[in-house]
Amino acid sequence: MNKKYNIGNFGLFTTIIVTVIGIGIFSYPRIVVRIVENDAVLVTLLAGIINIGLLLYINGAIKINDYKSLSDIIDDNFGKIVSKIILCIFIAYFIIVISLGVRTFAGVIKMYLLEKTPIEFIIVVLVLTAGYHLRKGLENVINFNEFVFWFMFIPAVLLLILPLKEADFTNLLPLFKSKPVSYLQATLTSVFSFAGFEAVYFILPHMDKKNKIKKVSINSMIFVTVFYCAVLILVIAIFTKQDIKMLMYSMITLSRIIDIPGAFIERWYGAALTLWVLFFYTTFINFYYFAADSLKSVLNFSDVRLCPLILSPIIYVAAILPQNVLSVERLMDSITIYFFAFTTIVFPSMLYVKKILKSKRRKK
Amino acid sequence: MKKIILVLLIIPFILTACWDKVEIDRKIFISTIGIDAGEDIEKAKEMKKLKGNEPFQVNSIKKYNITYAFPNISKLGPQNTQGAELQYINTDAYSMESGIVNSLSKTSRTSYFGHTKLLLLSNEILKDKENFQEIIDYLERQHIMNRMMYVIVCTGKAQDYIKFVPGMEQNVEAYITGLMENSKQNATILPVTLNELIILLRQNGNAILPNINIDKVKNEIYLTGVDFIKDYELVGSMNPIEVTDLELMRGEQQAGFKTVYMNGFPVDLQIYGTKRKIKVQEKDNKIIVDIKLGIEGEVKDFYIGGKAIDDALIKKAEEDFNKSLSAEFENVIKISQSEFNVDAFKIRDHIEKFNPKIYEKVKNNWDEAFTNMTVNVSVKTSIRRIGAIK
Repeated sequence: MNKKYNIGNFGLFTTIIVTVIGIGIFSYPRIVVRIVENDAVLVTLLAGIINIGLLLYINGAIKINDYKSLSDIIDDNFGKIVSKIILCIFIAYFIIVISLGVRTFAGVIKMYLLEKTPIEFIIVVLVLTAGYHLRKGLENVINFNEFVFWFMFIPAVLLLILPLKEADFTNLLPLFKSKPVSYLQATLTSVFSFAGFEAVYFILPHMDKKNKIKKVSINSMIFVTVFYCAVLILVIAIFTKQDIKMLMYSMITLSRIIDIPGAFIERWYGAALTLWVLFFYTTFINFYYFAADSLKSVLNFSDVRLCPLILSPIIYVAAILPQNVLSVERLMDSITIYFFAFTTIVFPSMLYVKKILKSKRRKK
Repeated sequence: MKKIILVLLIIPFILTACWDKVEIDRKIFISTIGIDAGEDIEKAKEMKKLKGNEPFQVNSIKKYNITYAFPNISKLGPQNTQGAELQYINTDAYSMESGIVNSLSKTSRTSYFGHTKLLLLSNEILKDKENFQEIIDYLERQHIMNRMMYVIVCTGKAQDYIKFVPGMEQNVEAYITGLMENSKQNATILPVTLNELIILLRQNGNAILPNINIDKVKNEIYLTGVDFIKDYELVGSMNPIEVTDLELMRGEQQAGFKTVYMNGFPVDLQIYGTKRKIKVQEKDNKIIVDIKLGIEGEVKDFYIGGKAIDDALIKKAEEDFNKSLSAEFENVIKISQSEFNVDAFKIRDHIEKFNPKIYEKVKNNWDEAFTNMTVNVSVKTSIRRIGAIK
């Protein structure tokens, strides 16, 4: 159904950004600072560069397959049966990311806003809303990404600028005080926290101007890296590394210390939680679409409409399975990192190898 | 039929938030929290002997006595410029949360802590390290708590302060927060917010907090300086004059007031700006810290027997200030080194950030290193204005 729909450069730019920057950014400072303290910013820069490399690697793999859709690429390269297995791995990855995300999201909403509302209800409403959103397919998702981009980043930048009064940038010192092993561990964690740029598998085939893809992809990843670094620099400058290690969601706490003289727009807390909803919803809706689109190919459906409905009970159950917030985080770290490695390194490498083998065969 | 089903399906989406509905007139906005030691604070130590799986009669233990004060909102309005008088709930509790639970049985409304401006801690509470740690942990864990609330230690019972009605304001919360905000002009006050306190304590359990006292005869509340907290325990205090020195030395406070005597007349300097530079070096296993403090200000009192003020006099006054302030500051540092062993000047912070090699050597025995280090202070005063007459 989306065959005629073409995505513009801004569509690709915003989709990569809003998919990558999710609610992870709220807890990201704690996770990285715990490992490498003040070097978190350097590690994030390094992770950004690595991720630009990975993104271009995936882009290349799609390019050598003539920008066909993901299911067609796998079908052509590995045959029908293997194709279904690979697509199922993709679906499993997306579902796990979505469900754990939904659980964290709902947990925070319950803690900060809707204390008496049952968490199951929050999850059901969310999954159903997203299911409805996806019925019109990719066009809807991309338009939403383009539209919501400004609503996410203008308030986010304001939220970062307003508490500057409390910041002491010397808190970013000293640097280079961690062990080499810690840098490695932190870089891996940081690279993984950029998960979401796998979006290109689903977006690139619909791109309008294929020659601009490389430039737009790099720009979007630079945007993400700069945003991550800005958040880190600011929260370290304000809270110091010792306190960040303890703060669950430092960006929400940031809103609690905004103190504008004259009590002008005092309640930034609400703005921070609105951002929490938007940052989550965009990641969620994109991943949900990718899962639905992959399922469409596995089940040989003609359009994506029914797929969110099939996936929704699975997401719901997977979301309410973990015991608490900490176990969600542990699962996120331990399981999804393998899937991330598969989709960003193993799978594109398989495509490259297959291409080389094919061209050799042709020469013979 | 389809439309009816659609409407029925939409209803739950629209009404989701009603689950948590609280009407604003059913809320009380807690503006001040006062924490006192309860009757059983000593007995509460026995609770440590309890095993995790043992049942126990929690409500009978009065570890803390907590007072929640809130403004009478019905008295607020455009006509009333003085603020509303405070109402309060007082309850005994074995933990901070149990205080809130107990207070529920004494009010018909729901408490909201998002607007809390002031936290009063009785000095009795700070005598036990674990109680203080427990309270701070609780306040940080509650996401709703306003991290910009001022934290103040009070001598005696916190509830006495909350009940106090100052002459100028309708309630003590407005009075004390006003005092704290005056610190922009007066460095005898050292305002500390919950956010700053948490950050200081996280570093090594040390902090400084302002202290107030109440004079029941004169019916007034006055500032008595700052309390030093070392490893979550109260170890001593400084008077307001020493606080000015402390604040100027910290390099954060831009305002203050200092005096020297010339020809038997006081010369008062209103300080508008300070700049601190620290140089740390290590000689023969001893740390030497040189603090250079630049002070800018305006003389407010400069009557020295009717003489007109000229360049030479200004230079002389500047030199006098330099000498007297350097000696005063060094004295304050010595007190904090030898009496409290608390580094309130952020020297540790500076060494960690800018001299990491030295810091590596001393980080494990910082207390000893701090006591033994030599701190030299040199002040450079610049008198920028002398008023409207020469």
